[in-house]
Amino acid sequence: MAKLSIRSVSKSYGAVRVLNDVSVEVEEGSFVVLLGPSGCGKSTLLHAIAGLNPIDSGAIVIGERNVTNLPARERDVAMVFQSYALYPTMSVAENIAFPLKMRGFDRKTSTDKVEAVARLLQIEPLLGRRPRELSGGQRQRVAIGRALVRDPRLFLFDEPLSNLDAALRTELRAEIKRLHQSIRKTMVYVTHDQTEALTLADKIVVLKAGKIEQIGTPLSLYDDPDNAFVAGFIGSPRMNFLRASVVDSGKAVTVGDARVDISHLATRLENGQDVMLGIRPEHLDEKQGVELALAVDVTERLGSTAYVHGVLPSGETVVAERREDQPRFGETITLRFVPGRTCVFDAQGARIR
Amino acid sequence: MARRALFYVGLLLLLLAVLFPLYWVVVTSFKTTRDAFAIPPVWLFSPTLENYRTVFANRGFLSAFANSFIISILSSALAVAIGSIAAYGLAQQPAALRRSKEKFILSLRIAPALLFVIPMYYLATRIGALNQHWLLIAAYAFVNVPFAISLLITFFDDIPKELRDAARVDGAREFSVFWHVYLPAARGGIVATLILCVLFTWNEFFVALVLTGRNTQTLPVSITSFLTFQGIQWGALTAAATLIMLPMIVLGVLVQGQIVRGMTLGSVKG
Repeated sequence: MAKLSIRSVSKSYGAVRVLNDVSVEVEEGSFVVLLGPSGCGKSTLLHAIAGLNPIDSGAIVIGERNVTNLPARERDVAMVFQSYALYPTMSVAENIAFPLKMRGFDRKTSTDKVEAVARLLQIEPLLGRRPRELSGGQRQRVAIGRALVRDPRLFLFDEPLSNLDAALRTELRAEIKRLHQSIRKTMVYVTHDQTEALTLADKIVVLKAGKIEQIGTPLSLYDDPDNAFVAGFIGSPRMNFLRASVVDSGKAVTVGDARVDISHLATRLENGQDVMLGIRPEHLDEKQGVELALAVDVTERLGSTAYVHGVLPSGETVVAERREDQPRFGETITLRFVPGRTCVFDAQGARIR
Repeated sequence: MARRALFYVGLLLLLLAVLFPLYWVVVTSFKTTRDAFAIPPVWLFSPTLENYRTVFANRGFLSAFANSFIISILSSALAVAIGSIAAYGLAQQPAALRRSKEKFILSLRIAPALLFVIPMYYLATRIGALNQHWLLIAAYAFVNVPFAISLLITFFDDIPKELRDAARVDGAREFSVFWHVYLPAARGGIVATLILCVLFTWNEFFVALVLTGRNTQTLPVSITSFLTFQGIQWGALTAAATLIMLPMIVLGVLVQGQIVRGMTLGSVKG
């Protein structure tokens, strides 16, 4: 168990900069998720932590040890792969025992440890089988067992649930969470799935094109995003972005015909400046506030609630949550929101607070 | 329908062209000299083992059998051992580096054996190695290594890269990754390569003709002793040829099954 420091790590493949001055501090025993769209460098970063990918500059420190130039086997980390990466010619027991064998544990200790892990993950009946005789969920459980058995300083997960079906994904997600709560080991988890990130993480690192966009707790990223990318990436359905123009010497913006008060912002904007107003779908269903007229296109009914897709008079498309009525195609409804629940972004997408 | 029929007729003709000479060799080995040269050919005859007796009475043939056996097995094992380590290394290289090295290996396969054999003969006479088994074992291993590398690379390429990553994180050194993970996963390919090397070495004539001495003669060379000044002993020759083919036919049947078997199935998603 150890803390992890990633200090200004950069890496390029040819002319492409896949990691650009990335720095992250992971506290001992915490669960950190690297989140981002595919190609953002999150897997590259994880492989760099594991020692599978050399980095061009920067440093990686696990505990008090600078491991930047150490080979993977000396870093004392364990990794779970998206493709499970079980050794096809070994039985489940041999797979789990492999890290122990490589570190020269004697057979007796090794067998005991394998059994303990198998009991923890409830895969005891599978120990004699080969990986190809297992289902996807069982394979991933074995892979997690292989990571657990050695008691490493750091656990790395590379999209471990992406190859599983939805039900199994939810189940294993909860199991990983439970595992972390019971063993309290430092874990770094890569995913492009925001649900996984929001449910698992103590801290989320949002990456885009090799750069960190924001680091924060799940709630802070959701409620208080630093920029339009994070605001749009986290939350489903995503935040609505509306074109707005500053009026009243920076005290308000206009969205279409509506006037939205932004006098609570510390920054004073100039009249006529173009900004974006971000509003989450669930904040468009208030009892009172600023009103917008929405021509309804489609209503998605999800049981307890519904999402209405429609078009504003300005031509911008909007998704709004409706908890009570469920309007149909062709109807025009009135959306209401409170100015205090909105986010204002400048033309480059940076948050104005 | 007509096209289908044509396809099968073509197939039949091809099969005949390939199998008939084999059939003729085997059948002739069971004929008496008179039957063997009867015109028109005799299709029904009373078989004799006389020719096999002649072959087994020939001490040169028996020792050649032993030579062929030792040389082809040992040289192929050596070639596969060297080739699999090289192929593993190449399979892990970045594409650009790997391509340039593969070109070099390919060039070794294109070069005629003559290029190596003449200087080797010269060297062997100078150091007095011409009548020793290890010379041929080394020569054939050398000829087989490029072939083994290029074949084994394809088997190693089929093994998912994550297995190496996983093993390295699990604490394995590069050789352990190769030994514990890649080698078992490519077992089918290793066996297939070994057998193909044995097949090649077993049948090879040219290198053997140049580099073997009295004690190390292999079968393809020794069989020429049935082509004598007094004439060709067709019966004995065909009996010897049948005996030479037999082990390789058995191996050929084995190799088919091994190549087809996919060893990595089940390690990744699916």
